[in-house]
Amino acid sequence: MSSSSTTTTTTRLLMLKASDGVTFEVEEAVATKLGAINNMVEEEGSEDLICLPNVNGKFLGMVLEWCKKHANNNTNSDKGNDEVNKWWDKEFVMDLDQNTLYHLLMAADYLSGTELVDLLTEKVASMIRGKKVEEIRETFKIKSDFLPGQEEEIRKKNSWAFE
Amino acid sequence: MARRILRMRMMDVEDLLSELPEEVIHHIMYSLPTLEATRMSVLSKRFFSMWRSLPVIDFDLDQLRSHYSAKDLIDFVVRSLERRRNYGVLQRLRVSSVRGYDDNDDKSLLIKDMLESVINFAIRNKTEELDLDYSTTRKPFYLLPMPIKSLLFSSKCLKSLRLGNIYFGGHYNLILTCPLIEDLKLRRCIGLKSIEITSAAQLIRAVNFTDCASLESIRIEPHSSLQSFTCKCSGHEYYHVSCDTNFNLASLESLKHLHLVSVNITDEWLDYHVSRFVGLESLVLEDCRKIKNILITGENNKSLRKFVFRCRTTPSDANVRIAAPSIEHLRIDDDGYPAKLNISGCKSTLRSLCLTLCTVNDEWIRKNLSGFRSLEKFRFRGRSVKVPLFEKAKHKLYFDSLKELDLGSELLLSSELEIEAPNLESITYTPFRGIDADSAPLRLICPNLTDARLSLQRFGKNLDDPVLHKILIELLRSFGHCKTCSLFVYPPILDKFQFSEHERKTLIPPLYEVKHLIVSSSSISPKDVPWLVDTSLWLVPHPETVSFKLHENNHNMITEIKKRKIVYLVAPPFLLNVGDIVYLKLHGRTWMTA
Repeated sequence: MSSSSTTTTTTRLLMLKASDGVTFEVEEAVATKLGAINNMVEEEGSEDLICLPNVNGKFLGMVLEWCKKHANNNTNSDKGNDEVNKWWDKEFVMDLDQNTLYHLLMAADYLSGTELVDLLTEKVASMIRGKKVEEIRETFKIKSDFLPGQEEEIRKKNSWAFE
Repeated sequence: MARRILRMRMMDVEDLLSELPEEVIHHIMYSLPTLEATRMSVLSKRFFSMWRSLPVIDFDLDQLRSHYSAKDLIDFVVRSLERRRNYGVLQRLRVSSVRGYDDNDDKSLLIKDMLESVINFAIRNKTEELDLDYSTTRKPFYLLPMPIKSLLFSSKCLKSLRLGNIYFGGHYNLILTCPLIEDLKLRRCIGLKSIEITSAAQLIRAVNFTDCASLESIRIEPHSSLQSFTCKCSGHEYYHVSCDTNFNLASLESLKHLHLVSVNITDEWLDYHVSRFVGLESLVLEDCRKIKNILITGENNKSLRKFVFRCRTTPSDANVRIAAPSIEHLRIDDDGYPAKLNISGCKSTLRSLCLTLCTVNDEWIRKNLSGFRSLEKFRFRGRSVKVPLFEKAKHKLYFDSLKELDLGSELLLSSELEIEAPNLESITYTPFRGIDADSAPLRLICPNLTDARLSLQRFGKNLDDPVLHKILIELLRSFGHCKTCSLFVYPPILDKFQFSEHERKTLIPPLYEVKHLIVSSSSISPKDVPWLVDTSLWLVPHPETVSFKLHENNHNMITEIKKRKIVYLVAPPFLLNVGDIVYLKLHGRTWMTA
C-alpha cells in the first residue's frame, strides 16, 4: 500500500480559516470538493491560506469531514464504496438538529458543495414528506403571516393538494 | 451567560427554514412531489412567493385525475399557469398523462386548448426543458399549429424537448435549429414526413424517435456532436409505422450509441455507416429483418464494446460474424435455423455473453464455447432443439474468469456436460425439456460456487418415483457444496419431491453443506405442508434458514412449523429459522411463542 503512494505526486495542503479564527489544514483534493474553494485555488493559485468569513469553525469542520470522506472514496470508485458512502451519508444526516442542519446548509450553499447541498436538502425534504401543513409549521416553527381568508383562497385554488 | 441562554432560547423558537436562501428552498421544493411542494405554498407568504417562482412546473395528470373531472383538470392546468409569476427562465415544464384516457370529442377541444397554452407558456417563459405527453386511447388529436411549430423548433432556450402523442398535420418537415438543444425525443408523433437536425443545433447529444409513423427520412447534418441515436418502431395499430425510413447519418464521428428497433435498414446501409461511426461504443439492432449479413471486424470501430442483435418474433436467418476484439458485451437472441453465428473473433476480451439460440449443434458448441479468457457472465438459453437420441454428445467447458452462469440450453443440458470454472460464484440451471430417464449427469468443477438456483418444470412421464428420485438427488448433489440453494418448482411436479421414509433413511442428503434453502412454488396446498417441511429438512440437514416463498398466506404452514418447534417466520415469504427465539410475523403482526 505504501509503495503505491510514493509514486503519486505530493499533495498540496491548504489552510482554511473560519469566521471564528479556527483554522483547518486539508489536502487540496479534499477542499476542492467545494466549488467555491476550487474556483479560488484555480484563480489565485499560489495562495495557501483561504479565509471564509461566512462560515463558523464548527460547521466548516463538519463540511470538511464530509469532503474528506467523499474525496477519499472517489479515488477507488467501485460499487462497494458507493454503498459505503451512502451509509456514511445516512449516518451523517441522521441525527442533525435543525440548528446544525440550517448552518450546514448555509455553509454548503456558500461554499458551493453541490453534492452536500443535495444531501442536506433531501434531509429537509424527508422532514416535510407526508406531513400536513399544520405539522410542517409545527416541525419548523413557521408562523403563518397570511391575512384572514388569504390562506383559504390559495387552498381552494389547489384543493387537490389539501384533501 | 444570560445572553447565551437567551440566544439559545431564541434559536429554539426560531423558524430557520424560512431563513434559507430562495435557491435552497427551491431545491427542497423540487425534490418533493408536486403535491407536497404545492402544500408548502400555504405555510407563509414567503413560501407562497417562493412556490410561485419555482422554476419547475410538473403536472402529473394521472395523479391529478383522481381529484378532478377531466374538464376541471384542464381548467386547473390553464389557471395554474396563468397565476405563475413570470420568472424569467423556467427550468422544466412537464405535463404528462401516460395512462391513455378515453376522451370523447367534446373534451378534445379543451385538451387542444390546454396543450396550446402549455406550449405558449413554455415559449414565453424561456423554458429549458419541455416534456409534453398527453396520451389518449385514440390517435393523437392535438394538432400543433404552424406558428407554434416554428417557434418551438427554433427556440433559443430549449435544452431538452420531449413530445408525445402529437399530430403534426401530415407531410410535415421538422427542421430543428435550437442552438442549445441537447436532447430531442419524439414518441408517437404522427404526420411527420421528415426530420432534419441542422448544424445550428450544435449541442445535440441524444435523439430518440419512437413510433413516429410515416416518417420517411431522418437527416442529421454531418459533424454534429450527436452521441446517441435511437429509432424504434413497435408497430402499434394507430401508429402503424412504415419502417422504411431513410436515415442520413453520414459522417457522425461523435456517435457512441446506436439503437434501432424494427427498422428496415439493409446490409449495405449497415456496412457503410457502421464503419464510419468510428467512436461507436454500443450497437443494438432488434427486429431489423432486412439484415442478412452482419460482419463486425472492429477495424474501424476500435471502441465498440457492446453489440446486441435480437430477433424476437420470427427467425432472422442472418449470418452474424463478430470479430471485433474490443467487444466486451455481446447478446444474440435469434431463433434462426441453423445458427449462422460466429463469435470466435472476440473471445479473448468478452466479459458478458448472452445467447438465446435454438438451433446450434454440438460442433458449434465445440467451436465457439471455448477459450473465453475474461468472460465473467454467461447466459445460454434456447429450448426447441432437435437432439439426436442415438448418440449423446460430451462437452467439457472451461471458463477462467466466469462468475455467473445461467444455463437453459436444451442441447447443452441433454449432453453429458462437465463445467470447470474455478471462479464461478453463482449458477442458474433451467432444464426446460424436463428431467428424464436419459438425462445426462452434470459435473461441476467449481470450488467457489456459493449460490445455486434450480428451476424445475417437468419430469419424464413414464418415470417411476424411485428412478426419478435417484436422478433428482444426483442433480441436486451437483450443488451440494453451495451456501445458498434456491429451488423453483412448478406446482404440478411438486409432489414428486415426496421422498419415502426408506429413502430418507438410506440415502445421503444431497444438499449436505447448504446453509440456506429457499423453496418457491406458485401454490402449495395445505395437505402438502407436512411432507414439504420434512423433505426440506432432509435435503438440507444443517440449515441456518429455510424459506418458503408462497404467493399467498398459508395458515397450515404456520401450524405445521409451530408444531415442529421450528421457528421464525415472516410471511409472505416464509422464513423458517432453526434458532432459539420463536416468532411469527404475519401481515405485520408479531406473535411470540416459546
